[in-house]
Amino acid sequence: MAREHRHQRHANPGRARLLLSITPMIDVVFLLLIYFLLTTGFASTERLLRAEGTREQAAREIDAKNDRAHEEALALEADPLVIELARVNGTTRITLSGGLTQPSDAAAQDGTAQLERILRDALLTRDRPQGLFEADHPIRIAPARDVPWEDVVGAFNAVVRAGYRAVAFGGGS
Amino acid sequence: MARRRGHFPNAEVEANLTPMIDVSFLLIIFFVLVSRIGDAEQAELAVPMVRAGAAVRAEDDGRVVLNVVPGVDGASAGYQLGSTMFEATPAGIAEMAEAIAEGYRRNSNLAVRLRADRSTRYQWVEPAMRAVSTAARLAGGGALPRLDLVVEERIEPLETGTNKASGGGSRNGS
Repeated sequence: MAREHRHQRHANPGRARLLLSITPMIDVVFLLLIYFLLTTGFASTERLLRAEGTREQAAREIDAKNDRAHEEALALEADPLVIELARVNGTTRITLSGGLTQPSDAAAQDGTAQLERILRDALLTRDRPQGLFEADHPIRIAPARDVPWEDVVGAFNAVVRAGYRAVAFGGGS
Repeated sequence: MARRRGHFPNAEVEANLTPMIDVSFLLIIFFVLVSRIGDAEQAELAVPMVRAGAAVRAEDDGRVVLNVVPGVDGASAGYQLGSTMFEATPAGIAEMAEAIAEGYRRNSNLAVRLRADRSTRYQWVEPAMRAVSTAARLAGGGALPRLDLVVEERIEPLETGTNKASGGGSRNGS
């Protein structure tokens, strides 16, 4: 087609036609379309929950080894609020220490939503002076050995969403 | 043929680049799909789904991925650190802690990204968490364990005033 076009142009220079071949453009556009469709599907949807509690705990352990006075101060620290997770009749039951309202028996998803609500209500802030615990009050999540990981992470997520910062794991049955 | 060529003494030779570009793009797509960068260190598992808001986007700097490889009925078939497998036995866990400690010696700010299947029981995940703390102790030099739990966020409709309805600190009478 291009050769024909050149021929016409040489034959009749006054009536030259400009032909635009869009085939390569369509080729490339389709390839780009396929590329983006495929690569978009592979983008990771994973997110991270930062378990800073372990970091702080380790820092305290190191400090406590080096500093006896710090160890004594730790002894005076407030008791952690313990969230126990146990497996009962195929569902995960959440039990809170500290005299707080207990989440009612429900599916784990509802249980963590309730846990978040209870903990948020108990958070002491400038806007909520009736709260019971400050944001850096130590909280320990104590799952039983047979609790599924999703429920453990769900409880951790609920605590973080409620606004608490010092969260650690361990001590379950 | 020789005679016919002689009829076009001024024939132009043109290189058609279009097929080459087509093939180049196909090769690029092929290698992008086949290489699957970073996937070698991610075991096939379904990470827990959580309510959105608390989790942060995963960055790629200074981290190692620790997978609790799912086994049968909520158990673990082992642990995968990067692309190295470790057995789910006390000896295997000790080896894994030493491998993580080696990472801490190279980078004291190393973040360990913990991936476990949502149905895996806590008893199999807990040794991995403990191994991270042990590794930081073994490494010395002020290394602090930084553990990131890998999750996916659940897209949920907006809450309809349930939080507003509840009152203040709800301590029981007991």
